[in-house]
This record gives sequence, structure tokens and C-alpha cells, in this order.
Amino acid sequence: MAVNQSRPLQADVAAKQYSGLGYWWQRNQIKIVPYLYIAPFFILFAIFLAYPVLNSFWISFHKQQGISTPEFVGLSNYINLLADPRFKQSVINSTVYALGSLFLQIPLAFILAVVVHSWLVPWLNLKSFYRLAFFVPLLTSGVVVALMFGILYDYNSGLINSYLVSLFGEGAKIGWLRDPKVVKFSIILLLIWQFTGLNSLYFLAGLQNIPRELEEAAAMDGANAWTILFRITIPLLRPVILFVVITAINGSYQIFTQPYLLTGGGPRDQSISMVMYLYNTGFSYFNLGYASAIGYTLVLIVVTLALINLRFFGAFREDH
Amino acid sequence: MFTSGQSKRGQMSRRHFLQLSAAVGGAALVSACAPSAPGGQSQQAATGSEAAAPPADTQVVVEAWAHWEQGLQWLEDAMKNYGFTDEHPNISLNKVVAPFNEIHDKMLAACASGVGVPDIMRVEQGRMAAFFKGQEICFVDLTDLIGDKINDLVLGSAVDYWSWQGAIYGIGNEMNACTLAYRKAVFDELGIETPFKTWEDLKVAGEILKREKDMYIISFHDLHDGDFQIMLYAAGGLMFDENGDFGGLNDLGKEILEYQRSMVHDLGFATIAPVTGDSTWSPPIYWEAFRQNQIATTMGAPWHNGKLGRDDKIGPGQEGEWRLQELPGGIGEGLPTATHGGTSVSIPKLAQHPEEAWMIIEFTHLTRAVLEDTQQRGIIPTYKPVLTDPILNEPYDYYGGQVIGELYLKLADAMPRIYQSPWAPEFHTAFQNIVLTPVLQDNNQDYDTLFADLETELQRIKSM
Repeated sequence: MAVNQSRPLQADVAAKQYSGLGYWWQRNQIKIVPYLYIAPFFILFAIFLAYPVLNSFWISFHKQQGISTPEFVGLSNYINLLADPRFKQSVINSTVYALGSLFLQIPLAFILAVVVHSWLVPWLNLKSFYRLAFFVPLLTSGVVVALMFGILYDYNSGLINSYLVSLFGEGAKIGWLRDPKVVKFSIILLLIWQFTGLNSLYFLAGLQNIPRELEEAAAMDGANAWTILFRITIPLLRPVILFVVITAINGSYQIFTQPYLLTGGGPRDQSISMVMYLYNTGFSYFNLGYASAIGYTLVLIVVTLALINLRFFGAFREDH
Repeated sequence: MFTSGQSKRGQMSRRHFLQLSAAVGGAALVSACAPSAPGGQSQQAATGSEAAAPPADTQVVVEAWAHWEQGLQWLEDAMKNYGFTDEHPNISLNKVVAPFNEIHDKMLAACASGVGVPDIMRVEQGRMAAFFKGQEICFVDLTDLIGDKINDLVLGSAVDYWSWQGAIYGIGNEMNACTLAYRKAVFDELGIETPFKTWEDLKVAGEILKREKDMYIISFHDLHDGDFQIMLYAAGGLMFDENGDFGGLNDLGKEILEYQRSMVHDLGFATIAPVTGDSTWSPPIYWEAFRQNQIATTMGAPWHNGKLGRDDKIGPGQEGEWRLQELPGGIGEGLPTATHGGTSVSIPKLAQHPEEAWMIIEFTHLTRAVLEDTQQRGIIPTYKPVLTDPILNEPYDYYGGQVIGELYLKLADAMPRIYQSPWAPEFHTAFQNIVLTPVLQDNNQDYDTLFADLETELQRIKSM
């Protein structure tokens, strides 16, 4: 079918009355307006997130101490990190916090969720109460939590040591925040108190999405509670477990407020986290290039661990 | 057929949109960064002598930053109460206060970017070191502005912490001459002679005190090197030398560490200072130990032990029982005092009103107006001409009517000179982690190994 191109559209005729920019605007304004509406976000994102992120990556290859012209040093900052005992200690500490989340906090959260889901909720019908109770520690400001635990952990007049002394005498005092061998465990206990409830809520939501029929059918076939848990519940919770594991590990490697306020990273750097060391390097020592290198090393570690977890949980596998 | 950049029905493609966004974003970014002075570029100092003075009827608001309210309030009150405002009604102060770390981080960011720089920054001595890194220092050199009045200052407290390579970048108004506060009433009861002349006397008294009263004569900090620093300066040593290198890796350092270690671990006459992890010098539980009759002496600057009767220190209950004395001798040169702490007033090079800022600083720090802070906080000024003022020489009831101003006047002339270091925060941390804490917490006496480890770490820090 032939198209008649000899009659120009009215709009084109009108548009041609303008010239240059006016003509371009006349032709395109309808198409540009939607983008103008969403442009503020992209502009702000570019200025306040994309640019700093990319710039700090660039700075990480420079020596920039104090107010000085950045001097390109290639991978020197990253190489120096490998020989930095304080950085190594911060990685070890952050890893211990992550392991604490992985092997203490998450199992505890799961057990709590299973107990609430299986027994307490049907028995007492207090689902809303448990949800609220689990969520309260997270609603409390991290600063307040740290100060509160500081009072609990205090060596001389802390609540925990006072209780221990009343039971076992003066020798039972524990240097919760002063003893290098104990301090990491003290911080892990705080993290357990603060985040176990939240992770329980995730598990609880996952458990409630598992059809009861599956469990009932398994029970009718003679499966006991353990078999149901390990053969049905846990496999079906795999996506939730993956989510909780990745967020918990990420959170552990990014911990800052708790050690910063409780211990200042001490004693002897035994509680300093990677983010805290990054902060000290950037602001207390004003070594911006090195701090950027710490930041990108942290990114590398967190991304690597996330990929390992994704692979371990079969997130890349196609379901057939 | 559609070429790149075009799409069906003439709509803008995503690529085109992203290009447009990047262009707009880039333009915004460039415009946002335009006023800044990159660190690499020389920041021209617009000092009082160079800046053109505004007409007297032009209102000038001088912006000042500090980490505590009173640190700026006393400046404003001094301006009003000592005649500055009458003389210069067009100059006022805009006070900006934020928590300690936040305000110092803001200062670093402002200096690095050149954006949003105030006219006056109050920089705590521990955070000054960071400003001395790099080729460019963002503060005005005040040496010429201070001029001959430099002779009126107790330099060890007034300028040394904020000086680097011969230039003065700030003035502190507190003379932080260290003394030993001791609970005289307890020692009198036991027949122990006071004041203590030497550290050895303290050891002897400590034995009696522990035996008779189950009290410790002193506490030493294991997570903060303040005690070590004070004793090192009083022994004639230096925490940092003129090149910024650590000055405690020597026999003097060993002697001080050994004294502290033996008092805590071998003799049991001293205890580890009760502190918290985030407040390692004198949190409330530190003073609680004194209220509970556990410790009988404490050394430090006036902000620490100058007024123990304050509610945030020992407070009511031990009135008339305490006294101040110069630091004991017997280690090294045995100077009667040392310096510890302080906060400067400094003028950033990119300040908008540097001349007015200097006028305020000069008036509040280099005239009698400095006494405003004495009236408010009880500090001992670094400005020597006012040290004989009656305000500073009133008897202090809590110290049994002792005129502590007389003691500080004497110590002003004995104040040791010190140096700052660009690596001060890192060096302090390294010394605490590698030497001080192992010695005092673990009773580690292998000083040679500890010092060797510290030396390695210090070299690594400097090489970065």
C-alpha cells in the first residue's frame, strides 16, 4: 500500500515556522518532559553517590595526605594494606563478628522463629506481641544500645560484674571491654541482642509462607518433627536463609557504631572494625588515599563473600 | 531503520537521556565545585595585615566553630564584658557547635575542599596533627600577628601544640600546667609527709596507704598515654621531637614505664585507672573511685585536677581534704610540671573575615579579657600578665584554702616546650597498643622487644 508523502503534517508545517533550537524544542518537548520529571533523582544520584564512589576509587590509587596534590602511586595503597598489622587486625575482628552472626545469631534467630511459629503462636496466639518484641531492639538507636551495654559491661560497677561478684566474689569480674580476649565476644553478644529479633522475623515470615499441607502430608506418611524440619522446612526456607546470611555478613563487616562507642576499637585494636579503621584513617590521620583503598578492599571482601554464599545456596542454579 | 539516538515515534532513547543527564549532572557538579580551592592549589592567606578592613558601619558576622558551647560562649561574653563590642559594634560572632569528632571532621572537610570554611576554628590539640599532613596547611601563620606579645605567653601551652616547622597556627588560652592533686587529709592521718618531693616518696607512701587504708596511692592509665606523656615531659623528655618523630623510645621512656609497671604489678601500690572503652581518660567511673576512697592522688592539667570540687569531678564530700602540688621529681630532669591538652583558636586561610577573626582572637587571648574563661571555667590563662590577677589568686575552699594561682604562677615559668607531630594520632595509638597496654595490662617487661616492635610500626606509619 502506497503511503502518500506529498502532504506534510500540520505539525511539521508549524514546526518549520521556527528555526534552530525553537524547532528542535517544538519537535521534542513532548518526549523530554517525562525525563525532566525524573531527572532530579539522577542528577542528585550522580553528584552525591556516583561521583564520590568513582572519585574515591580514583583516590585509592593516589597518595593524598592532608591538603596536598594527590600523587599517583598505583597499587601502593593496596600493597601497603597487606603489610599493615592494624588493617589485618581489623579484618580479623570483622570476620569474627561475621562468624558470630553466622554461627550464633542466625541459628538462634532460626530456633526462635521455629519455636514461635510451631508452638508459642498456636498455643498463646500472641504473634503480634512476638513480632513487636523482636523488632524493639532494632528500633532502639545504635548509640543508645552501645551506651546501655557500656553500663552493663563496665568492669567496676557494671551490672553483669556486680552480679558475678555477688555470686562468686571479687575474682569473678570479667573485663568485658578491657580484656583483649573477651572484647570481641562482648560485641558479638550486643549484636545478637540487637539483630536476632529482626532475623527471626525474616524466618518467621518464611515459615508462614510454607504451606501447612506439606508438613501435614509428611506427618501422615510417618515423618517425625526432625525429618519435617530438615527435609521440608529448611529446604523451602533456602531463599530466606540466603537473604539473612548475606545481610548478616554484610552488616557484620560494616559494623561501626558499637565498637566505636563501646571500646574505641581497643584494647590493642582487638575490637576495631574495618569501617572504624577506615574512618580513623580518613579523618583522624587525614590519609584519604589509604582510607579509600580500605573502603574498596572492604567492598571486594563483602562482594566476594556474597558471591560465595550465592553459589553455596545454589542461587545461580537453574531449577528444572 | 533507526539510527543510534533515535527511537520509534521519535521518542528520546535511554542512551540519549543518560547523555543528557550526565551533561546536566556534570554541569551541576562543576558549578558546585567552582568556588572550591583544591588542596593542590596554594590557598592564599588573607591575613589581617593583607585583608582590606571593612567600613566601621558594615556589619560583620564572624563564624566560629568549636566542639563545646562554652568554648565559644566565653569569647562572645569576653567581647561584651571587656569592651570589644562597645568599640566594634559592627562585629559579632556566629557560634557553630557540634560534637567533638563531627566538628573536627567538618573542619578537615572544609579545609580539604575549601568550601564552607569558617573564620575561626577551635582545634583540639590531638586533632591538630592531621592538619599538618601534606604540603599545604590550611591555617594562617599567626607568628607575625602575635609579634612581641609572644613573650607574654606560656608557650608550652599557648602555641606549641599548634605549631609546626617554626610557624604558629593557633593560640590556646588554657595554661595546662600539670600538677599532682593529693588527698592531704588521708596522708596526715597516717603521718605521711606531704607534698611529695620525688616519685620514690610516692612509692614509700603508697606502701603505708595500701597497708593501713587499703587505698591505692595513684592510678595509671593503660589505654591512654596521658600519664606517660606527663611524666616524660616532666623528666625533660619529648613525646615528639622537632621532626615529629616519637621521643619516648629511650631509657627515659623505659624508666617511666618501669616505674608505672612496678607500682601496679610488683608492689600493688597503684592501680589501673578505672575508665571506659570510649572514654579512656576520666569518665564518671574514674571519679567514682575517688569518691569511694580507692585512690589518693591524681595528676593532670587544671582541666583535670584544678578544681576537684566540681560536681563532674569528685564533688561534695571531701571538702578541705585535697591539695595541689608540683609534680614530684626524681626521674630525668625532674621538672615541676608538664603540659597536657588544650584547644586553639585558629584562622583558616580561606576565612571570609580574617581581619575581624584576628581582632577577636587578639582581644580575647592577648588581653585581660582572657579572664572571662577563668571566671566561667576556672582555667589558668596562658597570658602571663594576668596571672597575678586577684581572680586567679583567691583561696579555693575545696583545697583547704590553698591559693592554687600561686602554684600555677610558679609553674608558668617552668613549663617545658614541646613539639607537635603530623603523625601524632597514629603514634599515640601505636605506642598504646604495642608498648603501654602490654606493659601495664599484661605486666610485660621486655622493653627492648616492645620498643623494637614499636620502632618498626612507627617507620611503617611514616613511610605510608
